[in-house]
Amino acid sequence: MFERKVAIVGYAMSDQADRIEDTREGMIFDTVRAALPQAGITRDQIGTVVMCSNDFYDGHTISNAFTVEPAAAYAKDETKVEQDGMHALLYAAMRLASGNYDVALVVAHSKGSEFEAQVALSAQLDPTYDRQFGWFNDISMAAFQARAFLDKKKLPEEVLAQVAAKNFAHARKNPKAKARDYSAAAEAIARSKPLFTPLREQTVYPVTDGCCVAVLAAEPKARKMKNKPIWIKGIGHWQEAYALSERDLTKMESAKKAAKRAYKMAGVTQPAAEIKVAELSEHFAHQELQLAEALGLCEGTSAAKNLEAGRFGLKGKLPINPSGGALSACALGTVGLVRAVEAAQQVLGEAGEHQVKGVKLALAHGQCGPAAQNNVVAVFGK
Amino acid sequence: MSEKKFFRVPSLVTMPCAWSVGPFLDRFYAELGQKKIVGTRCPKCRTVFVPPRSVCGACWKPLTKWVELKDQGELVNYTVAHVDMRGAALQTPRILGMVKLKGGGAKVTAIYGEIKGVAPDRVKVGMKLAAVWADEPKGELTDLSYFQPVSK
Amino acid sequence: MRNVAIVGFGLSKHKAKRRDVNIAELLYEAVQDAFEKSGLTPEDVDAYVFGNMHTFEGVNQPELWAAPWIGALHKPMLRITTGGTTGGTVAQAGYYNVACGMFDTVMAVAFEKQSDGNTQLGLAAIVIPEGLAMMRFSPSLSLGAAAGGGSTGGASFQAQSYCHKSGATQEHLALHVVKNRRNAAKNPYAHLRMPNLTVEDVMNTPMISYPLRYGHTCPSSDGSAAIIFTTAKKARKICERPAFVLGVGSGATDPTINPLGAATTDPSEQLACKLAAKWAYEKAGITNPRKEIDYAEIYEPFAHQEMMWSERLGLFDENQGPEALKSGRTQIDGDLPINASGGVISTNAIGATAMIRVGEAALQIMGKAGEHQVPKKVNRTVSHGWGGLFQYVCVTVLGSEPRHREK
Repeated sequence: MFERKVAIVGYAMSDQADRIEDTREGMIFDTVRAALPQAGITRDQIGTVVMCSNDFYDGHTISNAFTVEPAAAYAKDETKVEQDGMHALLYAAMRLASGNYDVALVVAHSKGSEFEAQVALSAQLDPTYDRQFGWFNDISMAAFQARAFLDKKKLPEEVLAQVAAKNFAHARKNPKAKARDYSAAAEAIARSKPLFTPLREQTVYPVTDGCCVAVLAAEPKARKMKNKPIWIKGIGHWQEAYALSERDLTKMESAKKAAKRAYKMAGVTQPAAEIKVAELSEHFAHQELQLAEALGLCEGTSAAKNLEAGRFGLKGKLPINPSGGALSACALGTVGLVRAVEAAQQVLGEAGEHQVKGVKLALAHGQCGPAAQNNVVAVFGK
Repeated sequence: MSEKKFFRVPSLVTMPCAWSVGPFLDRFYAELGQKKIVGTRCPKCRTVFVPPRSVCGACWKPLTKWVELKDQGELVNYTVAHVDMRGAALQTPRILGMVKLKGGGAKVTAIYGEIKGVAPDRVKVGMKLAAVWADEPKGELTDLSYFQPVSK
Repeated sequence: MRNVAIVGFGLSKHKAKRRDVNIAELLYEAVQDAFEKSGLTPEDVDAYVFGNMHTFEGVNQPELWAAPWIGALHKPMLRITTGGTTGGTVAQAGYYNVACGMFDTVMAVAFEKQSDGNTQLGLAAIVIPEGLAMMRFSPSLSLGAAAGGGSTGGASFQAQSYCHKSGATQEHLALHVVKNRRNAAKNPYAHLRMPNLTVEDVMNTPMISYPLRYGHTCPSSDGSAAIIFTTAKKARKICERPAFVLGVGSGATDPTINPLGAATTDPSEQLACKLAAKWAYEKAGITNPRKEIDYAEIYEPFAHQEMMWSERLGLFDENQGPEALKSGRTQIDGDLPINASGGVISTNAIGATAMIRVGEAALQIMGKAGEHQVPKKVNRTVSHGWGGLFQYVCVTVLGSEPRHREK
């Protein structure tokens, strides 16, 4: 449990698109500059800033060296998480919950138009063995996970295309998602270019540029801000084994453990009934199904059946990724924070065309590491 | 996306690295040079780690017991690669497998290898495989060239 | 507010090239050392935080692969990286993981294995993309690094400015190196241990970039460190004299490395240090650091920096750093000992270094620094870390008594 409660009290997001006309610093500056008045604060009220970026993605040793100024962090207490946006949100919340600060800025960013994602991600592999093959990258590792899951649940590959089709349909209602042609239907997605089977081009995340900013505040300050506080009711994180054969690839164990911690903290005992909308970082189509099962969001045990029955669609009982999710747009390292902001917007009623009705509790998830090795789960509510 | 053309500076940042593999992998590669595959076994949970490790993370025990695995085993997972690591299309798809070797007991971690001698649409988890070694092994990863189905 | 304490500090051996181990095995050494010294095991640890400067090894997020070797196989894990201050900010993250109420016992781990990669290229990559874009061509990184004199080249601007303002001479720079490398001789984990080093030895080394000679610069080390944080309540059951975390701060300003910033900002001013120290002291309830701090660990890869930062941290008046050094006040047996561990000038595994400043200060409070334990009683310490484009500073204040009243 946190020593004191923390809430999202403001946010801003850039488009998730290829934006070569933006510099990294310009993109950050614009987004932070939008977040501050949205939260009703000025620079002076920021106590601490938590950046989220990755040196390999930016091609910069110390990827936050030049982003201090555009991120409103000049002459401030500033630090950096080098995982995913939700990890940064978690750490910022810790810094506030400790009592040391009242207001935090969380800034996650990357520019997919400026680096080769798979080269940067393949650098995560064990240098003494895995990496030496020269064949493996983020997609191949997830492909093994997809194979294990589909085989165990006896699902056809086409189910992956169905997940993507659903999320693309949602993305059509999300003005921030601009990473691909979202008009494709499941049949076309199922015939898209194979990469590492069973994964195809359209069932794998598209890498974009993007910056996402969240303003957090601890109580009692959070209650005195411009916007209604969206409390972090519960949050948990966990990391499982790296070696694929040391994991049960069908189960998303670390996501399950992270969710367990989050639900306990939030007092959620029946997530399938209590969570009204879930924003999951499904970098690969199969991961949405696995996460839905691991996080207890299904009726029964089969996410695929729930998907088919329409439960996870925008009009369903528990919409998953009404924003379109990572399959629709993925600025690496920001994805979890985007999910958190989307979840907060759902509770606030500010999700525009992809708003789900009557959301009291929303769930957001972030991940990093090969085949979602490390996961963060959070429950947001009023 | 913008209509204008923006100036891009292509830049390949090459960072030359030379990773020490450590004494356990040092021996692993040396043994590959002898057409042998070795691992280390945890005294508590009996897991055999291949490639070998210095510590069992689950039991927090230093590992000193070496085990020689057979160069035959079972396919536990696979993917068919249609692209290379950077996304360029491969002329011929390549089957990448995770293989659990015999000779280490029930709990053995899987090693990676290319699977040849079977069509991509005929690969099945559970297939029995045998390693094919390089003619002149040098104590490197490539000494174990690939796996192929065990002929009946 | 929760009281947090340090109950264990572990180190690996630091050397120029630890080719005898891989990254994961190097990490195991520090972690196992911390467990052995504190009497704890991985089962006692609720969460981990980890950091290093991973472009130096070319392995992206090594805690993903190496978790089993640090006892973190199935645990919560956060990765914090902030350039040269990384080890210190990872330590602060360890503190925050406990202070926020989520976890009771947390291990912070940091390392660098620079022999696996190329340090100067890694450092050049801090600025290269912008530099290339500005120059509109692609020279090799090594050309760029060589032309700039590497990190020493950048630091020489700062050294020049500091020496000019404070009157620090070549002799002062040498005295600093002599003090700390002789201290390092008392520290079995240090890299350059030189019990007989003299001022002349240092003065006889070649000039790299005025006023910094080869003898004024830190080594490049492979090494790892680990610190165990826990609640005050648990700490009292684990060790006799835990080192309580009293205050933390982590300042950031604009890049001041040449040629980008040194034209407009004096690189020796170090506003980030003044701010971070101010915040940390405020939280620690310290109003007069000169009187209230008994011991300091300062991050000084270059010989002018201990003097410079001892002033910026409020331990000595501005421009009095050189005199404090010369008079012997900062020796192990002085009235304000600094870097009894040998400091960074003797040992520098970049990702771990700022964490070691925190760990070494903790050892002094705990009374566990062995041969380099200072003779006076140590109640309050300040640990400093520095990095980035000369614009990051983290400050951690530890004490022998907890900050807040215990419930």
